[in-house]
Amino acid sequence: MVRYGMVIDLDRCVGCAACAVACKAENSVTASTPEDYKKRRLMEWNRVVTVFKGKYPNVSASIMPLICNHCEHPPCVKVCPVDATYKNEEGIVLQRYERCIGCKYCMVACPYQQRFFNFYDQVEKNKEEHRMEAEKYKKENREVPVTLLEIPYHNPDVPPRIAGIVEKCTFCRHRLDKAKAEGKKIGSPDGVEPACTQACPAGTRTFGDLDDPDSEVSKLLRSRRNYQLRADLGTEPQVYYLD
Amino acid sequence: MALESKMDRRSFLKVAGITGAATFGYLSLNQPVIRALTQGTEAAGEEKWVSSVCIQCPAGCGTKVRVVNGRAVKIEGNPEHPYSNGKLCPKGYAGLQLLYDADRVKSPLKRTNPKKGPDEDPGFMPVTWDEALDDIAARLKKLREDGKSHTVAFLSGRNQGRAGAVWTTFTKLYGTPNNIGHSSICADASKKAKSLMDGNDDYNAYDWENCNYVLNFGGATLEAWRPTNLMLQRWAHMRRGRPVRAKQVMVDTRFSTTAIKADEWLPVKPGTDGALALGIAHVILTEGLWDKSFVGDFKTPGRKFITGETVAKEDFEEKWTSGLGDYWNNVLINFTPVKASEITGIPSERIIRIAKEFATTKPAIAAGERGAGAHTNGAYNHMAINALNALIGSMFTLGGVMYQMGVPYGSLTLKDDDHMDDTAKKVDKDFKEHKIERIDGAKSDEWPIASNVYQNIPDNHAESKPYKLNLMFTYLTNPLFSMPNPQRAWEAFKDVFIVETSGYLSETALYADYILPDNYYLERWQDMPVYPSTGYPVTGFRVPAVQPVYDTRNSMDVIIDLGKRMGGKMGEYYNKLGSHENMLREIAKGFEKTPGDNGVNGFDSWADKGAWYKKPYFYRFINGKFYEWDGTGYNKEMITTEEVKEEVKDGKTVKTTVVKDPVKDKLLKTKSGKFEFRSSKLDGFTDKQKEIIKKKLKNPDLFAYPHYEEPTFAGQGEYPLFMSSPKMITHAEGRGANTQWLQERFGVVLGKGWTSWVELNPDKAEELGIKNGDAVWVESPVGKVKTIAVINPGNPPWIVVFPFENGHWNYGKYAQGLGVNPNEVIANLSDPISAQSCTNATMVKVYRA
Amino acid sequence: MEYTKIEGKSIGFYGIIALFGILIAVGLYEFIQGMRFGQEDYGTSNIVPWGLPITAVIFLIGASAGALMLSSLTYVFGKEEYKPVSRISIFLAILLLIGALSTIEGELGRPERFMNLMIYGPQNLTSMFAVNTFLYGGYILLSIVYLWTTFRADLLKVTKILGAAAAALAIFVHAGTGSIFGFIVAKELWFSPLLPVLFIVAALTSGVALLILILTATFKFTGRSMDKNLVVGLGKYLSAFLLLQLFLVFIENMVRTYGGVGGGEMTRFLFSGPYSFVFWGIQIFLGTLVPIGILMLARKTIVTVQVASLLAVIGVFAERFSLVIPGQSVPPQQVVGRALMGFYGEPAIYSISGAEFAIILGVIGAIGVLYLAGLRMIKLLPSR
Repeated sequence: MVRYGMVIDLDRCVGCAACAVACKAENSVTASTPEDYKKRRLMEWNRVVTVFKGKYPNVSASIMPLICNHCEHPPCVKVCPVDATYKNEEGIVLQRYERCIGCKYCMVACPYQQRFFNFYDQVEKNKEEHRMEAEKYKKENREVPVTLLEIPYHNPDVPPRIAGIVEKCTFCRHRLDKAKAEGKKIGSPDGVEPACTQACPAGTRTFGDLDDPDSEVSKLLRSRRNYQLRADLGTEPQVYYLD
Repeated sequence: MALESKMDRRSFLKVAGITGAATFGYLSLNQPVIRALTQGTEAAGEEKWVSSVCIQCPAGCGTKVRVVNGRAVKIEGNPEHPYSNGKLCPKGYAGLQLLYDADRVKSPLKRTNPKKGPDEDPGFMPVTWDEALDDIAARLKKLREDGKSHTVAFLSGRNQGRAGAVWTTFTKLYGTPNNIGHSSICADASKKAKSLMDGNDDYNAYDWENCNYVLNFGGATLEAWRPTNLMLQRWAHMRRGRPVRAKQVMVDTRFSTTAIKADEWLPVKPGTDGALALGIAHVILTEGLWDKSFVGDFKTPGRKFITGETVAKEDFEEKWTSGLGDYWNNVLINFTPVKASEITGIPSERIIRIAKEFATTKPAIAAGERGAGAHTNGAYNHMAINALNALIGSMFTLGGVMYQMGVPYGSLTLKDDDHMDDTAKKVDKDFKEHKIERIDGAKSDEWPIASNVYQNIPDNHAESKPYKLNLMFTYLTNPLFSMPNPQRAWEAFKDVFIVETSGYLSETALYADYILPDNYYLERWQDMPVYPSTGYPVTGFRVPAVQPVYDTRNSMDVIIDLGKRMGGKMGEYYNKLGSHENMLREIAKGFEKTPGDNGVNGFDSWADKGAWYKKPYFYRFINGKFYEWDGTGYNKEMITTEEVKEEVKDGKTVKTTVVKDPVKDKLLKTKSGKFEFRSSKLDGFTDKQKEIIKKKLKNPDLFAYPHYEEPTFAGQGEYPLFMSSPKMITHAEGRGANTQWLQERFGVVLGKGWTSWVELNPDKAEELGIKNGDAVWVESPVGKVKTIAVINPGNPPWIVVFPFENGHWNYGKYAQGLGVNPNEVIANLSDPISAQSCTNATMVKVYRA
Repeated sequence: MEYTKIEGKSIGFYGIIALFGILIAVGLYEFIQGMRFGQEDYGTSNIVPWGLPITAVIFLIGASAGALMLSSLTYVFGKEEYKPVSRISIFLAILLLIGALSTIEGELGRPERFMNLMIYGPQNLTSMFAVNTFLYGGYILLSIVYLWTTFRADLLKVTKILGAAAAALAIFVHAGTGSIFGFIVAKELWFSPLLPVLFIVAALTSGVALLILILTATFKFTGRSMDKNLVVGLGKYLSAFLLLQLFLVFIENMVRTYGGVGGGEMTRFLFSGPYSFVFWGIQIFLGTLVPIGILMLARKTIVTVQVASLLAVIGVFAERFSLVIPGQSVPPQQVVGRALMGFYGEPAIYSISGAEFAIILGVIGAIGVLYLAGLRMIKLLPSR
């Protein structure tokens, strides 16, 4: 059976956050406003963080990308009361948007803080904010510009999320499904990859089948020291970090 | 009572239950998911991938835009473009939000409120393109008739490719010398330094892929050094992409992202990068580690330079350099590592070790950008840094530095020179004879080699020296925001008629009399030759991905349209030219002669693939000689040839010897044809020019050499802290403040978004009583602004870091009123040689608000 | 012992119902807003997704379980002196749990999908939420039957058995609620085997205290005299529970001061962060130490017991609060021992928003209306 995972090479990561922005673009994740940010409601399926140690002149820092780890023993799957979040046969932890009741139990259960709640419907909010301006166009019988109607750059491959449900990284499931339908290869270096993996200019990420000994990810894990985040918690993440 | 008799428990529950269920049912029916289920899934749309080039920085990374049903839904790197290789930096993806920004300028606008100021409402009213262009043409014609055509200025920003050519032609035909770029507020110091030493007025290209040691002076490789995307790719390649891991040494005044990831960080005091380079040069020469094949050697082999001892010119035979003896005798002779250490703050043992590593790890590159350049000694810093590349033999070698080759475009059949009327020719002549100067003073006696002195325009205009401007066009530039101390411009430009092309309400747009909104790059045709990096020529192509969202027009076509209305020979030219697309079709014909490596040989294939490029870089220095690429290898040696020409003149046969020096023509374009440690260009300044510039120097005798000029800082003595104003990787050339995706992660390393900030060292913050997140005032001799303080544990205590992006008056609802502009506290100082604006040369004080 | 319904025709009665009706309206309005536009107005965030409503939920469940366990004093342990309040305590337990379920409903992101809990819950019984759904359902059903049997003198034996079963189920229910938190590995302040025990003790405390307050008020307003010894007796139980609670809180946090995962950052946040006043000032001092002092040292009157009960109720609510909120505020460390820089590492401060408060008010209003309606329609109170 296929077991998808990701390997992140921290030596390559240059702290540019291209992965974070590409993910938002690919998955149409709600963009934040300054108010959202102040209220800690930023939605980032992919983020880049830094940890510092010491201070000048004896200072060092580590830059690392964080992503849903698609754990083998996911605490979020354990606690979902309606089985809306589940781990599929390929090893990806997914979310059934139409079943989620928004109880947010999975959000407190995730030790990596990688699940996000939709505090509002981004499309509806956008429409609401621009409604008055759109009225002006309609009055003058002019075509309402697409920017006033909805979020024009919403990726049609990805379902829109409504207010009140939880979402998370899906390893760009829609890309993988499309690849399977078209008979394309999946996994680095020359197959279909999630948007973050494809986007990284430094080639930090590698995606593939951890159960396949010939895949790029397996080769990397054999060749270099690697570790998982908070392995002590027993979640068995499927995202590995190379030293 | 009635309530009690009719209502018993059971029926109460029944009613409550039904009401509740009904409410739920009603409310949930409206939810989009249920709506979608009832309506069925969206019909599969028409999908295409269109070539384009990102505009968020000058790199020119090719992109492919996914367009579904006429909407752009994803921008990705173009695998065919050698700068993208299928990747993009974070700024590229955010283009979607700029395209579909609801706060864009939606049509041409005309100002109704004659008063201009930061708090004035322009009172814009929509006009048609014809109204606007006719009015502007009429004004331009009137100025011309009054003999004031030279008082019209064109200020530009991101105008690579034909965009630049269109502006240049317009100014030439109209009759004004004021075609002013912005490079002086960018990084001109490094360009000019190179032009003074090897004759190339350009940024270096770098063979990063083969380089094994990088000594970087203030170039933020992982943040804003262009071409950012390719820099990130090459960095990762140099670390993990090949068997030999390159060593990265970062010389910087702050703990930047690059300093975090580098192997060593040398925290120099601001403005002292040149001193470090000189100290390293001293060690290289005293240890005998210079590259003999490029520089040459003593006639006595094994002899080294000795501290304090001069060297006679005859004792040293130089090969491809000139002036090394003078350089040693006048500058380096006593510039020991100890001296460098005193100035920079780096321990001398470290300087010696780095110098030895740098000189013995081949190939190595000494590089740098604004960090070292944006000081009052910026050009001299860069001359010293450049000299290092010559000393260790990195010029044009494998893994070394080179210069970007030009793209072999076809030439336009229509020549603009043929359409200059008398006014235009007169202005051109007067400018060359210095009867008319440019409004910014470039090419005058004060700034003989400057490309532009953008930051001085407000002062010059205000003082009418040399004259007052009457009309100003701005294209992808924002003088009222992006230059140091923009408050001068807020005052000075109140009486200038401004025609702005920005599609967003920038500060300059709010001062404009007309806004002729440009398309966003995804809505237009454009060529985009790349920023120097690969050496071999590359040019990208923008194909319109979507129909214009609003009533905007490609500014190139707008200028051509304006030109048509000018009448006379100028109008003739533009009527013949037709459109911008015609220009592109003509230049693409050049690819028929020189097809690209990916088969691009004309307009259509260029549009399809999105990039034309031709590898490899044509020249290489190997084992003491220069070679050209002959199709299979670097086999054709570049040797000086002498040709004897015979001519018959007045019945006599005259023999003339023509010397062709290909190295001098193409690579080391100096007077001597060598890399000059003593710049002949500087020596060649007129006495007047020398007098003016030497007055600004503290070491005027060393004027022609790279040397350590003590930097000047505004506020020195009264204000305690240095300030650096860098750009972050999410900073899209000042055009990203209205994108949510970039703003919410603006400070990637410090984890800060949707705010501006100043970084403080933790000990310094404690000393000032400032905690992380406190509101603080940042005050300098020119102004003060209020922002928040963020503790960066890595920064030295003597520096405050204030990144540039926010503080807009408008620019869309997300940018309006967000943060503050660090330029408002940066004093307007300029490097005397290159005219580089010294954005790192202001001292400040920070205190709790 | 004879039980009667109250007349329930006075202006005061209708006045209070009207007041509670207003509260219901406020709550319903906010609930409908939430369903239409999302929870934007709430004070919660992606770091602290559980705010005041969840705090209120666990408080109400606790009070309900406590009240039910108290009723078992009469029917199971045969303490006849508590007979006057036995029926009403069962009724209150049912209402408080219904209130808790309504609050959960109001807190859900998609309330109209609550049926999913029944349909899909059994598919994932590792989720304490799912398990609790069935526990709460069973609890309510059992309590209703239990209450019904108290009306039938002939079913006294059945009542006894059901009483014991109900008390046991109450313990399971609230241990289950505590396990919602206790099983979460991600939060240092929650992941503890003591949490279910702590919850049960807090339930007893809040149940007794709330009962004291509501019963004394009800008796007063319906013109019945309250037996002082009954109240003082309940007060004795209250002081015992408070002492036990203090001990457990002490043990739990004492262990953590020796250093937890990542240096005990979350514990430090609780003790000296922005919510330290809620913890030390309200929960420990005002909510535990002062009531213990009053109950043990002051004169034993109904009023002193009432004051102590009020403080105890506030204290238990503060205890729930200082568990739920500070427990989430500090983002979990990714690189253990090092804090993430900036936005990602800073603790999230949660402040109560009007919207969430409105939902709570609505639930209080609903409980109030149902209580008053019950008093009038069911023979719950002892006759005068």
